[in-house]
Amino acid sequence: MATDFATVPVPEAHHGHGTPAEALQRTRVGVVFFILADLMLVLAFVLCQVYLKALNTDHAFLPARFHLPSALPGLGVVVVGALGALAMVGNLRNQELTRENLRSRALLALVLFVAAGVLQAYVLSTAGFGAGASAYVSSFYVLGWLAVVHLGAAAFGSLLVLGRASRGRLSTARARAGVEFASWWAVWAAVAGLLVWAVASFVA
Amino acid sequence: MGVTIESGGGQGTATRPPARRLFRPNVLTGLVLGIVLAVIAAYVANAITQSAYSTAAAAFTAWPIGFLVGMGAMAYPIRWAFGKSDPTEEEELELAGKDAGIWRYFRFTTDHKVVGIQYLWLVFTLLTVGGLAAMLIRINLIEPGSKALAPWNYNTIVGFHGLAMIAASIIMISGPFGNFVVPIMIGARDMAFPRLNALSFWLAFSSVPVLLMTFATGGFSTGWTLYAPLATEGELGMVAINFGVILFILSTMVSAVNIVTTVITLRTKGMTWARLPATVWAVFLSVLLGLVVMPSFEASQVFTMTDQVFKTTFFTASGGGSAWLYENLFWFMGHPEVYVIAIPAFGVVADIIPVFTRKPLFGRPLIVGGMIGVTVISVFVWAHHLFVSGMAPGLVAPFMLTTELISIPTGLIFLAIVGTLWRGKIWTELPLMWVLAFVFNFLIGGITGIYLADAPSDIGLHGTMFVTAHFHYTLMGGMLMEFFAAVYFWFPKMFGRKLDTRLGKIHFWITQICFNVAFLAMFYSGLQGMARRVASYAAFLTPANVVTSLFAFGIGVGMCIFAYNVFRSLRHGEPATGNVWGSKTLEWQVPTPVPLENFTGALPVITADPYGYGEKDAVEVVAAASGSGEG
Repeated sequence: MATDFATVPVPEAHHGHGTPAEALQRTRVGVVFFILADLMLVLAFVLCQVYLKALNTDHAFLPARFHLPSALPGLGVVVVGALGALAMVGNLRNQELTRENLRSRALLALVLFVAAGVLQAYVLSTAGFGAGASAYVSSFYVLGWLAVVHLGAAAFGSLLVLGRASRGRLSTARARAGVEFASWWAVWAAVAGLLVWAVASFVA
Repeated sequence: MGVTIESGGGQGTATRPPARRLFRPNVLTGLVLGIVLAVIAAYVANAITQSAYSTAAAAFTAWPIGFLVGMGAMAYPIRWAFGKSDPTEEEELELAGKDAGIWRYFRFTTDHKVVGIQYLWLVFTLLTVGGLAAMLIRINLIEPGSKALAPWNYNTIVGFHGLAMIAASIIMISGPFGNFVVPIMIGARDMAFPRLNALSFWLAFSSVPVLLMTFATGGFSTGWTLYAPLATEGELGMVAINFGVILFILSTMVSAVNIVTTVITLRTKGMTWARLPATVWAVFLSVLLGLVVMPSFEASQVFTMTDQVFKTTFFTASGGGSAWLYENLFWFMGHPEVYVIAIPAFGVVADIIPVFTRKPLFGRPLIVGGMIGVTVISVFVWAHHLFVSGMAPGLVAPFMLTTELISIPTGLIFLAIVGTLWRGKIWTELPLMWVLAFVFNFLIGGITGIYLADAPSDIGLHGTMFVTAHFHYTLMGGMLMEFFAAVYFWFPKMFGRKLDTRLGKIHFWITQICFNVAFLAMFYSGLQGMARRVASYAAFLTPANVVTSLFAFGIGVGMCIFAYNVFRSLRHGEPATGNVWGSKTLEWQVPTPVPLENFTGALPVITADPYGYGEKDAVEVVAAASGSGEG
């Protein structure tokens, strides 16, 4: 291979890998592929419920003794989670992160994600399904807990951003990249929550 | 400003007192915290639920968390949470293993070369464990009705052999070499996310004890495919397998994101997609494919686990579930996974052959196009594993067609391989010998696969030893041989010493001869109707099974020679500090041992693809090798 080692100055150290803009680009590409992998997992969960509903073996997908839970509490979870994501989205549009606005947004997002997670856990624990599982109940619970995991991860991201923002250490490329990562994940958690809620509530 | 580290800086010796190192996060602290947390979680879960399944699930959930925290994997997030500043450059270099000596292999080290070598040892370990299981299987099958293993234990051993070997195969190229050589090949100083890189390895590492726990919890009887409903019918050992597999998949996901991001964003100036070495293309496509298909397998294992532990009914017909759903979830991963394993091997072949024929890679676009074609088509072929499952007859022909179609891009790759060999100045060194073995064996594996892709012949052959022989010809005869090619090729770069050639040739010929005799005899057993995953067989199949067993033991002998060669060469091998094969890819242009940041000083600028062997205007890298990496 023809190579020329004599050109291109290298300003980066081991952890830096180039300019702040390049570090940011790397983070964006990485989070997109993380979301892609998670999207495939969510789709696998969702399509399983769709398939089992279509199959409805011996009418056992949702036996008559079961009632469908109301979709409203789940919608509440989606809305609260989406508000949390909105709080984080502001960070994506804010070129100059300031200690004050990032701290307030991250704190708000953290509270909302935790609230959404707790509400989701409450919805799952009070769904009112009786003894003996069905395929619908199985999907309902697994999809519901998947949403809790997503919200938990989003809350964790918000917590990290909040910790950083509280000390005002936001000027480095890594800080910016971390905020981007947490923000994109928060958006995805809200979208995944909406998808999961729609399937759990209406494919039955 | 960049940090300049002299050649060999990454291989520095330990300066910190060993006793003090023990109290910093390392694999021992990880093991201790992981075990402590697992025991506590098990105790609490047992007190609350009185259920062995919940107890096991709690322990297997707590173990990796404790292990990773004990390893120091959470140090960076904790730093964020407490609002501390970014690590200093010195801290980053220390985390990357600077001056840590051999200790860096036993802690959370971010340097991609360290992670690559860690993966290599993990692959060796998995191959050893899986190989020992294979020996036990063949001992049991040396005579019909053997009492060497109880049938239940036989099932567990067969399943574990399959899982260990598949796990090893999935990471055998993209783990060691995807980590060690790919960043250097593209002209990068490290992976895009070095911490995630270390995390992916230690996640994979943490999955192994969980998988092994199946032996302590009763084993499992499903074989490596972990089919429901058998998997959900009360085997406690299956919970260990579910959690172990989930951990392993998480590891591959993290690794895949990292490799994909690295290749997209960290290519050096002039390293266009058209100039990317085939190995890089192959690893990139392989992990991208894994990223798409592995979540389906992950879902199947989550559902199997919840069916066992929480009594859901995903795979129980009486509860509205479907075992056929499991088969689809599994094979949506299961067949593309063959290509997750195979594609990196194609890439390594394409990079090794030109080096040992001293001519440009023939039909480079064919190879890249072929690999892309295989990647895309492979997600549309899974149902050919389900021809005898009672699937809708209307689906049979389309899946036969897609499965046959995949032979076209594969054929393009073979065409390019043969075209490169044609009239080349063949330099019969060990890497090329293993590549030729790959070509020979994989061809047999591919041709016998046609009979399993066609429903009429598959109906008769399904569930027989013919299938077992077929996929051993592709995975072992093909991919494992390619792994050995890669090991013999890159061992000097990774360890600074060549593997012994004489021992290597003995290893090669014993393995080749024994492999082919053992598995040709297995084809015969299968054609005679011998069922796979059964601890005994009809008496008339004894001669073929004796042949298979004896020559399988021969493969074991070959592997022992290889292991001896590795350990011996690490200490006494011929020193190899330069470009020992005269290769033109970038990893051979940097010094050995590779500096911590790969390229001291400036990054290279690429002006041509790495296959210009024998071309008048190509740079003769052999002459420039010793100092070209110094910038």
